[in-house]
Amino acid sequence: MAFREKLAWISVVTMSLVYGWYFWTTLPLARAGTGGALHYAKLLQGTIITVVILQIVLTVAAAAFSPREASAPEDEREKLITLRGTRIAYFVLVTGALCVSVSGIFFNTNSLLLGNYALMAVVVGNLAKDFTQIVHYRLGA
Amino acid sequence: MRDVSAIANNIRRLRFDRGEMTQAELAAKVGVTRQTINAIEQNKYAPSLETAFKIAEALGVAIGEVFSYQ
Repeated sequence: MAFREKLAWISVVTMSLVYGWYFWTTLPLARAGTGGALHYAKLLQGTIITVVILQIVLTVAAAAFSPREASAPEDEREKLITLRGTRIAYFVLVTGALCVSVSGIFFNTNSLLLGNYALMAVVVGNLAKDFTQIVHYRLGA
Repeated sequence: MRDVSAIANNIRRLRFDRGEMTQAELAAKVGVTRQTINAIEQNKYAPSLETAFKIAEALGVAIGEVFSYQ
């Protein structure tokens, strides 16, 4: 498995698990309109720190197993795969942003829920980027 | 990805003609990953002109001997 495919898997697993837990915990509260902004800020802070620490630890571990690949710059095919993933992520993010806008304007959604929906759009966009990269690495294209 | 169906290559044969050079060895000479050499060899990825020239140079042949347009 290519080193950069491993990085995409690390990103998918850590973000799915940690942000999955975050949304599982916060969305029911946000829907009910309970919990102040400070409560969400603390949860989000913990979530971001956890994701960053997990990704650093797992990336260092992956680099230890293939140090030469880890220190090499992206080659042209890998850059193309990254761009392909970024393009898909852009469409997912724009769609998510539109959904958040519609939810806020037409359905009078509360601000706590809107904030979390916007964050969800960012997370799903990132997951779409990682999945696209994994698919291209798997296909060998 | 680019449509590579019209571009054929002889990398695999040329590698074996040169003392069974591995994909990893060729990749190191060209400056790409082994997976990229594998993708080019299997006709799943069309390299840039620069990489195509580097592959030909690493194999010690002219670019026309490595790649052909069908």
